[in-house]
Amino acid sequence: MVSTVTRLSPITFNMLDGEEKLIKSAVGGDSSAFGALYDHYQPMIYRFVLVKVGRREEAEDLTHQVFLSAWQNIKRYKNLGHPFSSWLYQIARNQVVDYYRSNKKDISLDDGDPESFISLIATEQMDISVKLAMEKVYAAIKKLSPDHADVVMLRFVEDISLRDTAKALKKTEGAIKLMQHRAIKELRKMLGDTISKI
Amino acid sequence: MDLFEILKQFKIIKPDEAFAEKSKRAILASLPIESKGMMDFFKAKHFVFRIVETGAALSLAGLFIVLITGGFSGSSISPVRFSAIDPQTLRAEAQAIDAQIQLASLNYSEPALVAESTQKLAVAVNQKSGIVTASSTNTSSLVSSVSIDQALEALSK
Repeated sequence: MVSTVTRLSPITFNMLDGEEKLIKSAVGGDSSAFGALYDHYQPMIYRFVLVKVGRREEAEDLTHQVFLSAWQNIKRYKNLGHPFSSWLYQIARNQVVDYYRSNKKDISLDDGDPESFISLIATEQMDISVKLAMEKVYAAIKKLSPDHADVVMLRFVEDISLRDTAKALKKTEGAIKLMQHRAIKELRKMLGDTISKI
Repeated sequence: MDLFEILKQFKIIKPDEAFAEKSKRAILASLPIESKGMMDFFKAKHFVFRIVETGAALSLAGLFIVLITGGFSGSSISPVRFSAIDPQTLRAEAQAIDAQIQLASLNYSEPALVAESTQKLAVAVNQKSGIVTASSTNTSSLVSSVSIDQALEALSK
């Protein structure tokens, strides 16, 4: 008797409905399936990249490159029980590293402009005090190490599980726990009591 | 406001819709690259197929060459035997060729045809020169008595 072992991926709440089927179709070359994955994951990747590079144009270009690379290499994707987003975040991190490596003479990591960042939040309904708080938090995140900033973005902005964050960042879950603790501690230290006053 | 609440607010950041649509269209217009593993598999399959194909072609060509040149002469499956090596057969063939040549030369020197043509020529010459000869002369004596040179000389007169 032949037994088959199926690796089931745990359902995480940021996953798309019927994602496994969509991924299967996309791996088979179905562009509309990949289009659905793009629609779902593109804002997350854009936010992740934007916080790292701090400029809209660069963030758009890099996001485009991430999904182009994902689509072109979709046949190499293997479902090992981790969400598709982990794979996309890995590509995004590599793209950002390449971006800084190729532009290291022109751009430094502290080069993000908080004013231009806050102008990207195009919601008139949002309270100005919240916008200011976001600007301060963004400036503080930019001062974190890249790994700590990644952990903050994935764990506390995107609500990605420890396990999937560990997979996306190629770390152990224990390491992620430690990093998130340190990152939050650093953020609190940098922000002081300015946040609680808002 | 708590730090975590502010971090949650970052979720409202979204890319420009026009960019998203344009980027999506551009990405989906391209084709995914074949995975390296699959390419390697197909390359290996193709390589093995080519080796088998070439090997089979060479084997068949070699077999035909051996059969045509009389290989396996010791065995019963040989279509051609080395009969040329057998001296008795060679002698028999040589004799048969000689006999054919003799028959062919007989055709060239057939006496009846030669005699007939010579007789006609002699009669014509005799009529012209007023020499009356017996028509019932033996052909062989006619041929021997009137040569071509004499006949031509008689005609010129």
